[in-house]
Amino acid sequence: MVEEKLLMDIIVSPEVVPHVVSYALLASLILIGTALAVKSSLRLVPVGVQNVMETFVEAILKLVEDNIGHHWGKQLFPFICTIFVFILLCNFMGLIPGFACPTANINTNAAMAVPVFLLTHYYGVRAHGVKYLYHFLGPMRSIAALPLMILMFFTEFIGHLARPLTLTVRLFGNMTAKHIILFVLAIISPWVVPTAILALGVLVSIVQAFVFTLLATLYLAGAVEEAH
Amino acid sequence: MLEFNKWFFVLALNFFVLLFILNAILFKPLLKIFKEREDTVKGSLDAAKDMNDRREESIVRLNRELAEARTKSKAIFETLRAEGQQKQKEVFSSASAEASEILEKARAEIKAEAEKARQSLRADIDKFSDEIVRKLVKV
Repeated sequence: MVEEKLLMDIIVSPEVVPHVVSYALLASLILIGTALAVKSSLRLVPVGVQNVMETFVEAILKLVEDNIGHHWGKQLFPFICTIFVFILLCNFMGLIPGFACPTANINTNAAMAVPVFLLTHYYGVRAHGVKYLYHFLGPMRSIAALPLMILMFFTEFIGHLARPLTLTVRLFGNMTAKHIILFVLAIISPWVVPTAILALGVLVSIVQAFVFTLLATLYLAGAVEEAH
Repeated sequence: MLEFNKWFFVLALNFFVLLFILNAILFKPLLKIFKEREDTVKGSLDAAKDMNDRREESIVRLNRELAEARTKSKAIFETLRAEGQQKQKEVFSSASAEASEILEKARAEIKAEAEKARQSLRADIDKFSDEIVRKLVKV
């Protein structure tokens, strides 16, 4: 596939640094710049860009605290909120002509999904110690249910391994599909249809960022809650 | 796009650096602001509750003091009225005694005057009788 000509090519060649990396770095820089702008004018009564940031941050804080609880939620909130704002911005970048969508590449998505996987088990062990293994053994725990427990262990094990894979591929699939549809429709029938798909793309971008965030939250919540 | 390569590590590093920077310059200050805001709202609500409690207490104290003042004023009024009535009675009785005394004195004086007049007339009776007789005889 021929690499498209994009804005970042002016600064860095895609031969040296691929688009996915340069645009992911650009997204990070935009987020850091916005964060600095918010921090420099932080007020008790919010105005301007602080309002926008607070809306995102409060929504994610509520999501995290409702699902994970106040104690662990407070520790995991920065991680989950960073995932949300980063994915959302990356998804939106795919809608702007001249920009690439870093989340339409499995490396970007895996760079977030793998930490989610690792942190899930780290916090699981931290919250429960050895008893975290109960999460893998199913609801019945007795000698009589040993075969079932072994079966449950392998089922859960495969399920947990599949999580980073599904997180990665789901986001990649949606973003790539949107990108390809836009590209093809722009060639076949310019203006009307691509505009409608672009509006749909905005929705997909928000929904996919939220889905990734929600699933990461639920995986972490499942790890720190008591095993049933 | 589907190739899992070395750039994964760069992107993971980018993500972690972003996480630490955003946590330091955005999330922590925002959480602090949320906490401050919550404390301010809680403080204001507590202050409002305190003021309301104080208002209730003041109303109760005011009503109690008002009732006490009413009772006290009523007692003072009753005492003064009793004193007034006593005084009135005393004044009436003293005036009545004085009037009786003046009346008795006047009666005695009139009686003495009448007696005096009677005696003076009695002394002149003979003179008036002779005068009458002489006038009759002359005629």
